[in-house]
Amino acid sequence: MLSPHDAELMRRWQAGEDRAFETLVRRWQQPMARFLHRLTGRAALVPDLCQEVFLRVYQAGGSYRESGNFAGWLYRIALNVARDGSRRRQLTFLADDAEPEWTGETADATCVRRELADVVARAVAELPEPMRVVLTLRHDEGLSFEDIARLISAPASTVKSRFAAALSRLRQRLGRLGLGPEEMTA
Amino acid sequence: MNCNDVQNLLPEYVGGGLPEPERQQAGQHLAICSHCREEHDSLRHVCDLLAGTPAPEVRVDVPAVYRMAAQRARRRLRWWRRVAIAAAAAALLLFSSIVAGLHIRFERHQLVVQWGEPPETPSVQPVVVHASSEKSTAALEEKLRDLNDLLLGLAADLEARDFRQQEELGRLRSEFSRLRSETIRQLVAAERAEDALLDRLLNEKGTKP
Repeated sequence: MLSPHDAELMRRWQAGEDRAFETLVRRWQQPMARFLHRLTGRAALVPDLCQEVFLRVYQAGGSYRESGNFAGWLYRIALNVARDGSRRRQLTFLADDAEPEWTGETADATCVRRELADVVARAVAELPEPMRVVLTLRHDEGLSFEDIARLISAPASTVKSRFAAALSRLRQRLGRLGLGPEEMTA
Repeated sequence: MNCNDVQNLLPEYVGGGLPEPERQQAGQHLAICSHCREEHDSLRHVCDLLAGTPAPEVRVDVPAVYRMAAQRARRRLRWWRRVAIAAAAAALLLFSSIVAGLHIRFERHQLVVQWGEPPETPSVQPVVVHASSEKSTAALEEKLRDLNDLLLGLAADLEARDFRQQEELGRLRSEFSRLRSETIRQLVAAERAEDALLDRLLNEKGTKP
C-alpha cells in the first residue's frame, strides 16, 4: 500500500485527524534535522529547532492552502526557524560534541571519520547563508533548482550561480585544509 | 560542447540538475577531455565529502508541540484582551471628553481632568528665600518678617473681601424681602379693589328695575 501523499495528509489533518499530523512529523523530522544541521552547523541545537519547526507547522496548518508544494512550504518554515535561531543566539560554529554511535569500526577510524565530518561541517557553516541554503536544499534535500528558486523567491539562474559558487568555495576551503582529492587518495 | 561550456555546467552536472540532452553532451565531452574530467572529479569529491557528514537523529515530541501551541494561543488571547481593554478605556475617555466637555491633559507629572472654567486665582508672586551661610541671621529674619507681613496682608485682604461680600449678600437679602412684602401688599390691594368692584357691579344690577 502506498503511503498517503503529503497533500492528502494535510487535507486529513485540516479536517481534524491529528494522526495525519503525526504521520507528517514522523516523515519529515529527519529531513528537517538534516537541513537544520547543515544550515546551523550546531548538532546540539537541531532537536530544539526541529521542535520549533513542527510547532509552527501546527500553528499555521489551518491557513495552509495546497498548491502542490508542501515540501517547499515546510522548508520555508525551517529556513525561517534557522534564521530566527541564529539571530537570537548569534550562532557561531562549534564542533559537534555529541557521543558518536558505534558503527563497528575501529576507534582510530571513528576519530578520523568524526574529524573529517567536523571539518566539512565547519567549512559548510563558513559559507554565506544564501549559498549554504541552496547547497543544502539541492545536495542534501534533492530539491530542483526551480523549486529552490520558488522557495527563496529568487530566479533559477541565481540559484544555479549560488550552487556553483558554494561548491567552488568548498573545494578551495577543503583543499587548503588538506582534504582535496589528491591528498585524500594519496 | 567546448571546455568552457562544460565547465559552466559542471556544478549542475555534479549536483544532478542538468536536463538529459545537455547531460549526455557533457558526459561525452568528459570522456575525452582530461582537464574537464579533473575539474569534474574535484567537484564530485566535494559532494562525496558532504554526503559523509550525517545529521543527528531526531525524534520530535508531538505532545510537547500540542502543549506549546496551546500555551502560545493562550498568551496571544491574553495580549489581545489587554489591547481590547486599553482600547475601550481610551474610547471611553474620548467619549467623555467630547460629551461631557472634559479636558484631559498631563501637567507636571500628573493627570489633570478639568470641566468648566477654572476659578480665578489671585496671582501670587513667588517669594524667593535664599538660604546662604554667608547672609547674616538678621537679614534672614527680616525676610521672614516681610513674608509674614505679606501673608497677614493677604489674609486681611481676603477677610475684608469676604466681609464686603457678606454685607452685599445681606443687603440683597433685605432688598429681596422688601420687594416680596411690597409685591404681597400690592396683590392684596388688587384683590380688595377687585372685590369692591364686583360688589358695586352686583349692587347696581340689583337696584335696576
